[in-house]
Amino acid sequence: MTEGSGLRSRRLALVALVLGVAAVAVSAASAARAHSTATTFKIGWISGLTGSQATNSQSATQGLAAAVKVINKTHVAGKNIQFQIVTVDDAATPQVASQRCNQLVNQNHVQAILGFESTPSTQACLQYSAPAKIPYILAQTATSGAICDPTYYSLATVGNQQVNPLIDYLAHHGSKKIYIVASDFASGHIGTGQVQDRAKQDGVTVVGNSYEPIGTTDFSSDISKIAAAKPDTVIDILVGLDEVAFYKQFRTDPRSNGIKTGSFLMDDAAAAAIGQKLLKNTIVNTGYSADSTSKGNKQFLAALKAKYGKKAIVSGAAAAAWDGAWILAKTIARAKTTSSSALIGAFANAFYSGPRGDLAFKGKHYVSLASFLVSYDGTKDTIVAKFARIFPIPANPACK
Amino acid sequence: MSLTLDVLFGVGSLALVVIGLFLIFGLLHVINLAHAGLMAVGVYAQVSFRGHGVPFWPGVLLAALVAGAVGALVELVVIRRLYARPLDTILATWGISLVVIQVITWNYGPGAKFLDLPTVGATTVFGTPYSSYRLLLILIGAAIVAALGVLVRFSGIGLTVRAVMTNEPLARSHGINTIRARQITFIVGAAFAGAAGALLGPIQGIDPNFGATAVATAFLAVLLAGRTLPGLVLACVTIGATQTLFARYVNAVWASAFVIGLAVVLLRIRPEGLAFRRA
Repeated sequence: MTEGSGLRSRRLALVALVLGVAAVAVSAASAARAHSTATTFKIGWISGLTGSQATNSQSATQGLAAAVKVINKTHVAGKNIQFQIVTVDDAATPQVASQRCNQLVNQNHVQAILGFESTPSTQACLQYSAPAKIPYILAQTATSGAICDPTYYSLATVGNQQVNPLIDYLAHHGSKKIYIVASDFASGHIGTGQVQDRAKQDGVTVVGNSYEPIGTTDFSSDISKIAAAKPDTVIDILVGLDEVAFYKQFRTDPRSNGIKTGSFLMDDAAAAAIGQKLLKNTIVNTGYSADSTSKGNKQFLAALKAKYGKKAIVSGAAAAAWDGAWILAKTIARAKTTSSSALIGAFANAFYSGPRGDLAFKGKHYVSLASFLVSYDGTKDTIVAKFARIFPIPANPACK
Repeated sequence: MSLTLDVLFGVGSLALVVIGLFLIFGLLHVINLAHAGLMAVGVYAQVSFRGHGVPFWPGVLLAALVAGAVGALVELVVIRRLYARPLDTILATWGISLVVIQVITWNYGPGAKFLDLPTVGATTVFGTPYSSYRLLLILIGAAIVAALGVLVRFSGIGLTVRAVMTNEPLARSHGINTIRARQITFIVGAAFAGAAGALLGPIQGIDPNFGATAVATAFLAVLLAGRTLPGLVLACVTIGATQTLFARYVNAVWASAFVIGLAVVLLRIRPEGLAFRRA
């Protein structure tokens, strides 16, 4: 080998080495770039983990966590999009909700908010999320339908979805005179008006109504009024522990003998607290049935069981939170963006088939969904009627 | 008749809540803001006892003992050091209430708990059927007040209590252990709070804030009662009956506001309380 050819060989080797190193570097950089495209999408989860909504909020939080686990694992929102949940507790009060949403928006910089809140707490939260153009998705079971905001979307049932199936069913099954007892808050007053309107349409007479402050522990005066009015059915629009206290007192009072009860706000926790025995002769309108054999419900139940095992709390609240995470993921995937402001518009066309059946906004801010009527006979509960899809009519006429 | 029974239930259930507060305020001059917390201790203790198969009525007694034990601890650690500073006791008992609620939340979770009624039947009173359990609560409320009246009026313990209430330095100079009297009073007041919680639990929803609503009205009754047992009875009748009747015939939402207004007016007229004292 000549000296020149040896030099050439060394140069070639050096070039090959440089090219090899460069190739490795490019490859590594490419891999790093590919890795860095995995986007974290921050979701603020606000619910009343303490206070009057604690039981349902815990259940809803389970539903959300189970959903996020599946969504992240199967890349539902997009190949590189991973949901990250920032959980805060609004203590079921608007004052705390306001503080927590301020935190979510201005400290945690979340890109969307999923809420399991009452109407006043939601309104308090929107004070911060709406100006920041962050979508707020109410993943609740029921709401008043009083909120109209371009950034707000509700997966909860509103008045006509709650009231109409129940009153229609009762009217067709012998109820002629009803009495309404409601909590003294927005949904109680709105619900009372809607029951009165629907009863009138169905030819049912409303023989009386009363409001009780939230936190009432003695329903003697209502029981007296009900006994005096002699209705065949009492519709309760009471919330949380008040509903439990009412049933425990009303159903153990002999003046309630022969009177049916109907509810459209009763959640699983309240029903469990009251117990089958005291729920005898009660019809409840609910947006979720754990007995549903739909694909969406099977997936929901399996995911919840996989994550929580025996501690899983199957409820409408958990299903609503699950739906919230999924419809958000599906919307991000369809819109191909994680921009908060871009997502706000995209929600109008969002749809998802989950444990509560087919959900769709269809250009509105309130969802159309299915409904079930459950009858309690004192020992068990049975679905007596199903409604495939009911379109929402929010209480606030300004809402789309 | 059912309205009369409703009024009696309003009075009786209020008396159940008030009696412990009254004892502590009357003798110790301590405005015990931990009373709701002690009621919650009672109701959660009852939930636990029922969960372990203890029958309802023994469970009530055990719940009272648990609340009394908590009361003893609170008196020993906090209240005893603040007897000379009544305003500080308000802050201290409020803090204790927060701690108690948080401890309950840790142990039992923030969600609702449930207690079955010991009896779901009805009893006919002068031709009117009425919930047996509510009737029992009326009777228990009346019995506790009557027993307390007999105890205070005719027993040696009652004499000691009255002596300490009337003039503590003089009672001490006569050899009465006033510290022990205060300690026992606080424990008994706490036990009554626990019993009230255990008794009212089956007809109410139960969460860690149990008792908070009822205690607000109970404080009004204690203020109206002054420091005498007849005053307590009059205050419970006035507030319980007014609240029930106002809710029945006018508006349940405004009943509490009306009762507060009435209490303010009555206290303006009779700042020493409702009971008449012998000259």
